[in-house]
Amino acid sequence: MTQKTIFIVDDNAEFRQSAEWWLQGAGYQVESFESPDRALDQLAGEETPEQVCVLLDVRMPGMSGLDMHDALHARGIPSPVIYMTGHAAVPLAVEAMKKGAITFLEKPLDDVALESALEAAFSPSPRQGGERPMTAAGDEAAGPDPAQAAYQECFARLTPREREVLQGIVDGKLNKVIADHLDISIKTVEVHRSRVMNKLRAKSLPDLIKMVVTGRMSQTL
Amino acid sequence: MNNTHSQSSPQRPGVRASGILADAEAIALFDALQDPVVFIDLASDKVSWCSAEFASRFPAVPPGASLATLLLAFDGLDRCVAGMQGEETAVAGPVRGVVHYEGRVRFEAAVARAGKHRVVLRVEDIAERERVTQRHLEDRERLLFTSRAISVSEMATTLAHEINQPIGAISNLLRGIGMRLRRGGADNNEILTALDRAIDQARFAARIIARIRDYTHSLQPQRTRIDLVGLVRASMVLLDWEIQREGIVVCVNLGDSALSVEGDEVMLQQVLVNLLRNAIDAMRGAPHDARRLEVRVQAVEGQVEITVSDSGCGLSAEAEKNLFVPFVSTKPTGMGVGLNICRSFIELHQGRLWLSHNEAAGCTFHITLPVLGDTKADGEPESTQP
Repeated sequence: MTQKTIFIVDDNAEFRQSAEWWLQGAGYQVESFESPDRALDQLAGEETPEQVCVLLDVRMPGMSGLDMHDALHARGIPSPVIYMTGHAAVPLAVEAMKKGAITFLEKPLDDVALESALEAAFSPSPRQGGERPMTAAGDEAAGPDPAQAAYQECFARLTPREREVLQGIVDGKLNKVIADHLDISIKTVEVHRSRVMNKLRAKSLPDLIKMVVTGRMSQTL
Repeated sequence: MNNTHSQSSPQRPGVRASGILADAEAIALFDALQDPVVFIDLASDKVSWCSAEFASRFPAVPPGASLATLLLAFDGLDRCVAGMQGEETAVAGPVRGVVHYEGRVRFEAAVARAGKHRVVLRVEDIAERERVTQRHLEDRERLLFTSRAISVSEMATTLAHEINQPIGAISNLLRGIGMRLRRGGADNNEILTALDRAIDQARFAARIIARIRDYTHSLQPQRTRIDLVGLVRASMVLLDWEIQREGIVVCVNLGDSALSVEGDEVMLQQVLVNLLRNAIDAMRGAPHDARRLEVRVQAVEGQVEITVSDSGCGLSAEAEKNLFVPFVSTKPTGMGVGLNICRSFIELHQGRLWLSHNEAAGCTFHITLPVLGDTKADGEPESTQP
């Protein structure tokens, strides 16, 4: 069994080193980088960069995680990317998913969530290569995809109002802003929101956003 | 005030310049108001009288100057005056227009026909008016800034980000330890090193919390004597523009005694401005003839009570329940921290802040603060205890 490689890119030394030590203990080959530049250079020299998963911090001085992801696309490096962030802001999550990230994890990292994300990163690509930004719901060109069909089936069950609320969530709006915009009460928005989560069987906000952005059901179900 | 800028002319401003008699009462009035006003005599086409204020501000037009000199000094004035000449009408106008004095400074001129041969011209400094507005805006901005600087939201964001790093590291280390122990054959020293690092990170997190605690301590109020009546007035002045714009009738009852409290003037003013603004916001949907804001300051049982009462939409039971819950706001753009901060500020002054519903419409916010010892309200039966 070849060792799976993870590159950790995080400016916080304690977090970076501890994560490296943990994942080494879990049997991965791990290298960690303080800034994106060196990680990019090293990835460019890798023979099989698609087999190197990048665990990427969002907020870093200088080049941010999103900038590094753009740089990967620009250089044609197909490494899968998993984002880590102190607090998940929805617009950021949407941005990351649009860039084709595997997922978006909150710090402190949850082992089960990280494990399933890494599994997805190292599985031989139903993602058709990490470098291609995922398209919006509905215009996937590839043939029948069960995850996509499942998503569309669930999405079809949303009422028009629930779709409006969902759009607001994906746009990163606060509940009260959505409420004001749709001229309904915050409580009503909360009700719609939980119905949307239920109908789409989303386990978390990043999960929901991931499904909407990719137009596919999460595979973990 | 009578400093004349008149050049060679020996005539004092405020005194008629020619044979045409200016009305004595009008002259007294304009001078008392320090209004920059001139009378123009249409029979002689001359400036027959200048107020002292006018003479000191516009030395280029001395009393007795010709109408041509006046029109030359004030660019754009000819358009206003044009309609005033000719006919024998007794009273007309006023006609208003923007004029430039000596081609530079902007003024608003108001021209009116006052009598058979007389035109009255009043020139108002637009820049000055704008400066006053600007000052108000700046005061407002400063208040907003102070409240923003200490906003709970920012604190929470900083806290979340900073504290997440050590917690993330601790979590990573513990998972790494668990991983190795479960697999068996772990290197003891490696595990111990990881535990030490986790403890270090826990200490680091504790230091961040201590720092935030210090920061909150540094927000302890300044202790100075504050004249509450003056404070209420100053707060109202900050909002008078909004009050006027919304057509709100204000009723202020400041009591007859000067009440003082000890505390932080900026904090208390912020609380008042916040409550006043809430009251104004609450009345936006109310009919124009039913917008009434009442502010009252009175001594009550050894304390001073300030109430801010509006005739607005009132609060739903749910909104009242969430009144002091951070990040819950009924305003579309509100952060939901205003009242929370208000209450903290009042509690820092050993006071209380609460809400009651009005019988007719709207609600009333009450603040009580301990009154300062040596300036008790007269006739109040307080502090008779030994």
